[in-house]
Amino acid sequence: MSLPKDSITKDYTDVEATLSRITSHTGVQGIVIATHEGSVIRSTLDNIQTQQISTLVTQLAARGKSVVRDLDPEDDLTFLRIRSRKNEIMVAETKQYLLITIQNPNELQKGWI
Amino acid sequence: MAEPTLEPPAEAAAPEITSIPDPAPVPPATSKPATSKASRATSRANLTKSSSRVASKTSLTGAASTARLSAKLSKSKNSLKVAGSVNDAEPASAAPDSAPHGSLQEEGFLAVAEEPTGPPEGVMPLFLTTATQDMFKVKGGEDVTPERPFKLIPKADILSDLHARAAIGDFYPAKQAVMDFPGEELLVHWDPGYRYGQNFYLCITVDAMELFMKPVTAEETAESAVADVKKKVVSKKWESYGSEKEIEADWVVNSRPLLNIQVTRRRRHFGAQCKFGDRDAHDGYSECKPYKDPTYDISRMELSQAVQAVPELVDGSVQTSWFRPLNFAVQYEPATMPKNEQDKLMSSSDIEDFLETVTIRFEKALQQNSTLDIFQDDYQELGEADATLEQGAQTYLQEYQSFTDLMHSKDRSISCVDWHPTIRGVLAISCTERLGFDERVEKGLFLRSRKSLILLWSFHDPIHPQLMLEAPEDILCFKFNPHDPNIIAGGCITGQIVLWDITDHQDKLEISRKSARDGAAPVPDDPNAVPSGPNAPGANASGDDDRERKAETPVVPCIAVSSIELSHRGAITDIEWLPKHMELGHNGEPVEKPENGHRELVTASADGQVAFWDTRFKKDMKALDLVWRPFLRVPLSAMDNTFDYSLTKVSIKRTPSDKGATASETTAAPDNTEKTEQSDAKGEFSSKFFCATEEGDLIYADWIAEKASEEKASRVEHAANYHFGAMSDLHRSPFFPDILLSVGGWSFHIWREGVTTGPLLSSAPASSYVICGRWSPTRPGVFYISKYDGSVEVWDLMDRSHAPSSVQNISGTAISYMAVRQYPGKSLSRNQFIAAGDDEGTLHILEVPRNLTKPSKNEKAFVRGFFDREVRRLGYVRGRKEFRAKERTAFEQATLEAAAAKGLKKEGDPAAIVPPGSAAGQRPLSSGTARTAAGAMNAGSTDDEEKLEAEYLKIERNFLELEGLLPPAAD
Repeated sequence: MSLPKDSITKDYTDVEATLSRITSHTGVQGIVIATHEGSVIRSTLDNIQTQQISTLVTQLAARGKSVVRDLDPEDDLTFLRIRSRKNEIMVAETKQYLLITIQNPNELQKGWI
Repeated sequence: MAEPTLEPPAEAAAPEITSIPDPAPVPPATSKPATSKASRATSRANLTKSSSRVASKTSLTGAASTARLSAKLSKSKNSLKVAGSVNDAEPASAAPDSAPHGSLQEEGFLAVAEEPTGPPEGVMPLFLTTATQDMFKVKGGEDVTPERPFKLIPKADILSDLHARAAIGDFYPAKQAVMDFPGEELLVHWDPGYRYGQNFYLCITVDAMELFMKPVTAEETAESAVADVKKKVVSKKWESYGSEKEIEADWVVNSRPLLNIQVTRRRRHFGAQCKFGDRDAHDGYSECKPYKDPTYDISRMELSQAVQAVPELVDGSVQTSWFRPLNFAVQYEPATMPKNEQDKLMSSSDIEDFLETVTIRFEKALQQNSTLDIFQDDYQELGEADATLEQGAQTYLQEYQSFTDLMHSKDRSISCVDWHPTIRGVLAISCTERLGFDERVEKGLFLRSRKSLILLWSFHDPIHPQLMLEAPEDILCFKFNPHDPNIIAGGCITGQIVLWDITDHQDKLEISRKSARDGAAPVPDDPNAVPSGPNAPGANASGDDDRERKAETPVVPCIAVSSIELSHRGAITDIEWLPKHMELGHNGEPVEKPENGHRELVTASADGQVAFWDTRFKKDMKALDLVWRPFLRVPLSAMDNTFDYSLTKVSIKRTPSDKGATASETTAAPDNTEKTEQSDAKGEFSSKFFCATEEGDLIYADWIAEKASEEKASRVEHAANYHFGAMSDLHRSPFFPDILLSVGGWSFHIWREGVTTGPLLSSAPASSYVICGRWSPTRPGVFYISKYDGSVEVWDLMDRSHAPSSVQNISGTAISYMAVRQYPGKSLSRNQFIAAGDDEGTLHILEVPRNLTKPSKNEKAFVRGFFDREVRRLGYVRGRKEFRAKERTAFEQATLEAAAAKGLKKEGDPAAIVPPGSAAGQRPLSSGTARTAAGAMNAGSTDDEEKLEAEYLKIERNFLELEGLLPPAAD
């Protein structure tokens, strides 16, 4: 991203606006914001999926975080991408929260060809 | 039950018997009314009764023990009593598991005591007459009874009787004994069974008397006696007879000092990361179950065991409880957060900051995703391209094998070939005489000198057919039932259809399959299996050997032939099983029946009828013989009812769903798009079908007559005559159910159902007849065409559509029939074969190279696009033609008008004026007539004529140019 930092802060003051911006990308199935314990703060997915994703992905992210930290104690996990046959799961995390995005890459493939 | 074993050492026999009674037999004895005298008598009776049976048992025991025990006869009353009680219980066999030796010895003891061959010691048999019995009140049956068979008689009475009657007295033989008897009374025992030879016997010793008397009196206290005996059991002081040495020999003692092994593990290996993986609970789990091995089952014949003292024994067992391994899954409980908390967090600045930082990362990732596939495996793409290059080396059909049978197929034309639906490498051919109609009529019955057979070949035996199916007449077409491959239906030249059942011979085909599987290649490395010339395998076999083997080839007679009167009136040219889920109702409407599989047949015949047959016409298939008739006939006559067609092939639309099932069988990897398309296209069964005719017409018809009243109404909806000659084949594409390939005359055409304007693709006329056309089962754009000159053409629409991709000569004579079979499986065993039968009776098996079997990536979509384009082209050409025709009439009209106007101006003849309406009325006026008309009109003036002619030519050239019929250079 080559956008200047100022413009980002200005544009993204509204949380919902940010979320809708991410959702507007092609193939994005949904977004979940959760705490590290797995509690959901905000989700655009249905209940069942939200619960599954928040619990399982959070655990995985914690695992990944510990791996990164074990390798280098000064390092930290920032972004995690898992590509499956159907979906891509992307996780970004800070000290407090996690943002999980599910994207269907097959929808994108039409654009490549 | 702590049953002590009772084989005592010989010297200790007597004490053992007395001191260790068998506890098991005692209860039955005590269960009898213990106090009554009757019970005593019963026990006596039992004792005596069982003695004979016991005697027979005695023979089982060793002679030594018998002898030993006989010596103990009068040893003690106690021992006898115990023995008695044991014997008493014996008939009940209450304790068969009690130590056998002990009880047998005791039986033997008794048996000897009452050996019937001679009276025991102290007993003297006597015959007492009735008078004597009366005298002494011992009358048999009255005074003495079986319950109480003895009586005590005072010695004095006997003595006085001896004195009175002297020698004639009954007691005389015992005179001395009576006189010697020390007691006051003598015991007389009734012996109704004459066991000791007389009806009574006399106890002449006190011991013998007590033997009979005392047990009875003592038995009252049998229980207490037994208890006394029990009490007396005390383990004796242990004496060493050397047995401890044997026990010590079994001890495990250290033969060397114990080893001291130290196992160490590096510190860093402790607490190392464990690698857990998923696996089934039964993996790596083995269970050892007890089982009986008959090999080691030794029955115990005899056991000798000695115990001196019986210590208290305790049987104990410990078994760890057994757990069946189970798969476990991790469960989780979702963490929840109250709504207000969520809202609070959502509105907090934390979240905003968080999103701010995080969004950039997402933007990056998402944009990257939409630009390119970062997870794409480039090597995989590379590998595919590589493979095609590598396989490009071999693009020709390779002759894999060829079959010919000297007796049955040589010099005959192969009329039909069909692959076995399930067994790999098995296929069948039918042969017919190569004769024209006239020749057939001429030869008549003589023709039948050779049997009409269907030969079943297997890849593993190139010389001998596996099976021969006998047919009443020449078979022109046949098909395996896809549901039950043991049923084969064939169509005869006489118009009858024939059924065979090869269930009994299936194992023969199966064996060949097994041996074919053994090798890595689908066919064994049999030297005979090496691809050879058309005639080589058959010719190589010597005549004798051939005949010898021929006898082994089973000939299967048909199980049913349809009724000749009610069958077709012409040769059956095509036969097909109806699709799996499809059935026809009474009126012919197709019904979907999911549970049924391939029960009905459709046939096409030269008599111009399509007929539908049901194999369930009768309960049993065998019952169909000679009565079977079609349940629906569809006569096809020309649209104007002037003649009847002679049909050569029929093609029914299989539903896409049904086709999908067969396609997945044949194509190894149908991709997802294909499946969805098939499910989308799933629809009703259609009653419309295509027929190929000898006249060269492709007929599209409906077997449901629209109006029952109009009987003569043709069911033909559309007929297209594009073939110049008889049509010989019609095949539907396995990928597009609406695309058909028709073959006949010198050309082939590809049609689409519903497009009536013409074929999508027409071949240029070939140099020789085109006979058979087959679509590739795996590639939508590939089909094979066989020709009269013995060549097979491979057409690949992905490559080019105006000429075959390759032409190969297979045989010297015409290839009369082809069948393509794709075998599923992994790389090596996944082969596609073309079975091509020629006019000389040789069946050629051609292996299709990989590049012709493996579809390229978007082949189906591409080929579909090709056909769609062709349909559009057809529509466009038609539209243009109409437009041109309109233009032309308009032009001709204009010319006429102009000419008329000129002629009018020149000659001023009003009669020559042609009204505009009349020219319009002659719409299909040709340019030629227009010219002559114009010429005739302007006959008077050559000047005008020339002018007109030039003008016309100019217009005509323009027209031709526009139509693209004139090369532009010609200008």
